[in-house]
Amino acid sequence: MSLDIPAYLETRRKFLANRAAFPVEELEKYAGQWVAWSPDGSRIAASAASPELLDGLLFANGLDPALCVVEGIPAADATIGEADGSGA
Amino acid sequence: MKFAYLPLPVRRTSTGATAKARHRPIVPIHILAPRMLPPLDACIDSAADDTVFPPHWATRLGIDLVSAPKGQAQVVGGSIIQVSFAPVTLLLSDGYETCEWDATVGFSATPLRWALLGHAGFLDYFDVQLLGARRETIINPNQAFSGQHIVVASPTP
Repeated sequence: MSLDIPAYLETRRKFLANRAAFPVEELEKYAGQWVAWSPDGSRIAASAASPELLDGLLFANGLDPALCVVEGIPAADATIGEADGSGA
Repeated sequence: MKFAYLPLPVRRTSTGATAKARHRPIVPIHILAPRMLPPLDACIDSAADDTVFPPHWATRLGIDLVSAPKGQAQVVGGSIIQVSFAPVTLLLSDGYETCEWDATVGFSATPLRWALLGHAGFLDYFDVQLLGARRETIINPNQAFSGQHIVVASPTP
């Protein structure tokens, strides 16, 4: 599968700008969960206890998972563990 | 390539820390091959021997972690985690430049919130500056980088 590079770069620029400005107070609501960002990084498009569940939620919302950055939001200040959502 | 540090909520403040957010050098990275996957946020980790992805990504790639070569990786704070290694093609972009390269990366048996961009597979190929005051990460391919580096446009100041 190949990328549409011009479209990819435009999306990436928007994503990085919007993601960096996303209110941390809003992000805290998703602590302990996995989130998928909207392609432009302006909102959380889907959230779930495990990353395996995100694709289905994104498809149901009419979004292509290949365009949505996935991230685990820590339930605590840890990188390792607590990725099953149980720490939320 | 330039990336702003990402703000993350602080749930358990360290001694003396009063901030509501912790800013980390996290960048979105793509696995392009053997199968293109959704981009995943990845934390630059100079304490990590290897570049390591969460176990779910191996499943999505169809990598058989049972038969894949195994090893150990030292990550944050010297912790040792079990990993299985597999070759992939990676893509990193700030929207103005792209770097695409082949690397052998680890897939952790331990849950990880982010991929970890460690020495093998990432830091060996890039010179990285962490600008704490500006909360920015500057990443440039170095002489060891043998992938494809494309500069599409210059960022606006």
